[in-house]
Parts: sequence; C-alpha cells; structure tokens
Amino acid sequence: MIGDAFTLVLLDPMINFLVILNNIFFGSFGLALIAFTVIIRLITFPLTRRQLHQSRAMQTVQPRMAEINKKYSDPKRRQEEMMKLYREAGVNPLGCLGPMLLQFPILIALFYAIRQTLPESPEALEALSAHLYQWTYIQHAVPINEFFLGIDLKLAPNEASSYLSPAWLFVVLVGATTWLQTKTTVTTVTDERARAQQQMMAYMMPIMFAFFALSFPTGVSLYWTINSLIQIGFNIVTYGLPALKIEPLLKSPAPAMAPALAARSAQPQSVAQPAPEPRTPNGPGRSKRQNRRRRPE
Amino acid sequence: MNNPRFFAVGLLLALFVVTSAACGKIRQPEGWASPAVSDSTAYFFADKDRFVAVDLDSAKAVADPKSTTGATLQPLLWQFPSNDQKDQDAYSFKAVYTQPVRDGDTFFMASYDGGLYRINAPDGRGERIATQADIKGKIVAGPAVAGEYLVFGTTEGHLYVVNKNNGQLPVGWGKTGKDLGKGIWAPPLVRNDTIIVATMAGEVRAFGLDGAEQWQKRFTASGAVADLALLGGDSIFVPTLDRKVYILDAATGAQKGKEFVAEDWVWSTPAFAGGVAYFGDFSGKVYALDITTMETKWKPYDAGHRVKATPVLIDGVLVLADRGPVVHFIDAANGTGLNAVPVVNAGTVRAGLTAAGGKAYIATTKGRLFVADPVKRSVVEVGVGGGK
Repeated sequence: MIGDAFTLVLLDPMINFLVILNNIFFGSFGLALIAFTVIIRLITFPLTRRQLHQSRAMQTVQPRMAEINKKYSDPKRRQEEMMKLYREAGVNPLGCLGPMLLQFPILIALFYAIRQTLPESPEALEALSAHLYQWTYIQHAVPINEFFLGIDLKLAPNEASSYLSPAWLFVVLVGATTWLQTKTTVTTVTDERARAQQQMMAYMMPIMFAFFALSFPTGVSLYWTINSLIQIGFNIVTYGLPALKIEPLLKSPAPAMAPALAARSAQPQSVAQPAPEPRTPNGPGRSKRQNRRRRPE
Repeated sequence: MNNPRFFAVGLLLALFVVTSAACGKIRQPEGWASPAVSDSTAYFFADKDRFVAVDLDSAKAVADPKSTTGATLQPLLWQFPSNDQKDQDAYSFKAVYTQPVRDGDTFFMASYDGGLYRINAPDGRGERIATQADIKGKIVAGPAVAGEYLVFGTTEGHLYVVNKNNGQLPVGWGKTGKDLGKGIWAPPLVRNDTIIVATMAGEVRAFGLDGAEQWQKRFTASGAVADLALLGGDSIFVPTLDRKVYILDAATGAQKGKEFVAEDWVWSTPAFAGGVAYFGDFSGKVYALDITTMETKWKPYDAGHRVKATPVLIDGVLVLADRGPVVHFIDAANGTGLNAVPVVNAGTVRAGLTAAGGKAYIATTKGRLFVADPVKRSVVEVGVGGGK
C-alpha cells in the first residue's frame, strides 16, 4: 500500500521527468540529472531561504544562549529560558530541518528511479515499461544511455570492475563537497562541548557520505555532489567566506526580535539579565559535574 | 547543519536511505530462453544457470510422491553443468535469453555474462568455447548459426561472428566484432548467409558473412528494437518499444506497407500462419495482424497481463502465456477466448512457447516446465525427478 503510493506519487513522476529531461538535454542522462538537481533546488528555494534565515537568527541569539547556559544549572530551567529566548527572537531551532528532511524521499526515490531508468538486466528494462507514461515523447527515449563522461551512472563504485574506474571519483567528490558544505556553514558556538561536536561532525559527515557513495549508483552521487555545490553557493552568499575574505552577498534581515528582547539587548547587560538563580555551593550556573571537570587533578 | 542534532538527523537519513536501498528489489538477470523439444526430450533451464534434458516419454514417468492430484515425474536425462562440472568456472554461466540453437547433435548457447557454450545433446557434456573475440558487453541476442559460424550481439552494440568449432574469427570481422553503436538485444536472424540484426537505436541492418553491408539502405524504426523474427522466409517482423510493428522485405530491408501501432511496448515475436502474425503487447492485448494489409483480423483479445512470450499456433488454436501467468487458448479464426488457465506458484512467463507434438511447452522463471494441450485446453506441469 505504502509502496504503491510511493511509486505512484514519487517514483513514476520522477522517472518520467528524468526521461523528459534526458530528451531535452540531447540524450545525456548525466546532464538530465544535473538539471534535475537544479530544478529541485529551485523548487525548494523558499525552504532553503527559510533555513538560512533561521541559521542567521540562531547566530544572533548565540551570545544570549551562552549566557543562559552559564547562568542556569537546572536543565529544566535552562530549557525554559532557551524556549523563551527562541520565542522572543522568533527563532525556530528546528527551522533548518525542512530542506534536509525533504532530501529523504528525494534520495530514496532517486535511488530507485536511477535503478529503474538505467536497467541492469533485461528483466529490469521490461519492468521499466510499467513506470513510463504512454507519451510518445517518453517512449522514444528508451533505452536511456547510461554513460556520462565515460562513467556508467547506474553502477556503484563498488560494482565497478576496476579501482581505476572513474566512478571512484564520485566517492571523493561526495566526501569533498559534503566537507565544504559543512565548512561553509558558519556558526558561532560558544559552548565548548557543542564546538567539539561540531568539529567531529565536520569530519564525520563527509566520511559517512563518501562511504555510502560506495554503494550508491554513481547517478545518485552526481545528484548529491551538485546538490552540495549549490548549497555551498547559498552558504557563501549568505554567510560569506571569512577564510577568503568574502563578504556575505545576501544581507537577509534577521527575524524581527520581540520588542522586549530588543529592548533588553539595547540595555546594559546588568539591566537585561534575567533574575539570577540562587547561588549554589558549586557557584552560579555550575553543576557539581561541571566543577569536577574543571578542577585540576 | 549548525547544530549537533542535525548530525543525528543526517545520520538517520543516510541510514534510512541505505537500509531502504538494501531492501530494495533490484531485478537480477534470470534469463528467458524458450524450451526446446525434440524426440520426446525437453531441454530447458531448470534454473538460471542449469540447463537440463528431461525424457517426456510417458511410459517412463513415475508418480510424484508430493502430488495429491496424481501428477507424475519425468526422468532427468542430464544437466549442464553436471555435478562434477558445476563448481568449475569453465562451466558456470549466468542467465540465457535466447533459446539454445541446435545444430546436429550439438546445442550452442550464449550467456548474459559473455560465455559461449557447446553442449552435446545426447549426454549433456559441454564446454565453454574459447574464442579469440574480445566480447564487449553482455549477451542477450543470440547465438544464431550461419554455416560454420555463430552470430551474436551484445548489449554494448557489438555484433560478433565466430567459428562454432574453434572460436576463430573469420576474415572481415575484428576481435571486438562490428560496433553498431547501440545495444543489440534482438537475436540476429540468418537468411541465405545474410545476417540481419537490429539495435536499440531502432536500426535494422544486414551483413554478409564477410562483414559487408548487404542492404543499400538500412531501416530505421522510430523506437528501440528488442526482438526480431523472420516470417515465411521473405519478411521481417520488427517490433519496437514505442508500440509499433513494421514489416520489412528481408531481401532489401524496405518497409512493406504502413506500420502497425499497438497499445504498449511490443517485445515479442509472433506466431505466424497464412500471412497473419499473432502477437501480444505489454498492455496485455493480443493481435492478429495481416502483414499484407497491416490490418488486424479481429478485435484485440485482452489477456489481462503483459505479454512478453511468443505464442504458438496449434491446429487453429493460439496458445499464449501472459505475465500473470495465465495460459490462454484463443480461437485463431476469430479471437475468441476458449479457455484461460492460471499457473500458480511458478513465477512468471517471459520465455517464448515451443510447439511440439501438438502441444505447447511453457518454461517459467522459476525453472518449471508446463505443457498446454490445445485440444483439452488444459495445462499440466512436467515434473522432473529420478534419472541422473
């Protein structure tokens, strides 16, 4: 039932759309995949813009978040203050998830769409007929040429006959572009632990995706690479690239702060500070565990 | 990705994709070679990598101990590779798509993974033919026998001719065959030492055994051509994946009459008699096409499932198996359905049917063999048991 819905709503339209793009782009499935990626990014641009907007907004409230972290040791209270801050600043911490969650169905459908459109066996070609619409323009295109720049787009690198196969290039490209994507996402994290986690993420994500690229059809890796490149472009436009002294091109305004927060931000810190927590024996805003960690041996 | 929780989401996403991908059903090659029947022996693929010979003599049948309907088992005469050969690379093959061609006492067959085999029909001893040809791509098309030569094409679009006895290449054919530019999926035809071959680019061409092009002008269909058949010796049946059927003059390659447009892909060859070609398409429609007028003789019969298998015509009854699989008995004179028998738990039918001794033999993707009787309009399994 779910499988049928997935096929009808996502897989079949995607297969037919890819075949149409293949026809438009001179019978090159690689170019069709690149065009497909660009179109998907254009369609999801409102979500991406919202994500970037939210990321910038998160940056603006980072100092206040650090302050709250420092001030409250009680996790419940800290959470309450954080939520209050988010509400006042008009920030949704999950706002960055939209485009990422959208990648779920697209990636899964694309995996199958490529496997179906570029069949690996005569049986698979026969099965393709069940997915194609009865339009002459589409029917003429079968079978699709699976090669792009000498790379078989339906094969995964680990299925390639040799380690010298150009398909392996995509493992590197997926890893490199994912790493660049992470690095160009500028964030201001004040918490040491969060910074360490972010560092780990910056290296783990590319390795992980490169590992997955080993067993994905090269066409999916091509999609991922182009998708990452576009995201890197968006990141640079939004955040700039401090390492190369590139200023952000897009000066998107941070979300309007609630008047109370704006006023508090404008006032001296001593006035803006919320009511302090009662001082604990461990010091303000510190847990026993935190103190233990900082204490020299 | 400016928050550790996004890392977790990313990880979950990736795991989900990989899990889904791993669970996905990717179709592996199974083969769809038709069974061959001669001298009360049936030769068919009991698995994608096992070719067997079964004695059809009813006197040698034994009762099937598992059957509750009194079905019998026919003795297995041999299998290739045999038990002492099956673990050796020289004898292993993967999926065969064209019926092994019999030449005297020898079967020749080509496997999807690029192997050419010679099998002795009386005892099943076989071997891989060592050839000088550097086979590019996978073999779906062929082989066909042309005198001393075997002719086959590959999915990468190379047409090969090799000596059937020693694998040597004849003069005029390179080590990598003749590159026709696009995949060859239709089994090549041989007519008077002329090789007729079609490509997935829709081209139909003819070559002499010396490699020279034979027709003044090659024929180009509007869609991919995945099958090909010679009708009555002088016409070629050209079905396409964009729903059309063309009839060509086998001597010149010129199109005869207008093309016929079916409802869906036509990836099958027809049964042919009295100037009428009987075939099905992927919409499940079965047509009786008069190849002189290019008009259908009767209103298309609706089989209900995709039709990939070539039907057979026996005593005025068209026997056809669809992908259900359901075996249909159709009156060839007017297209009336006489009976439809579902075949359960046997996979599906893609291999063409074979007519022999007034019956139709049907091989399924699960490696089982059935026999359809057009007189009784019944279908019975030919069980395999005993013997070697």
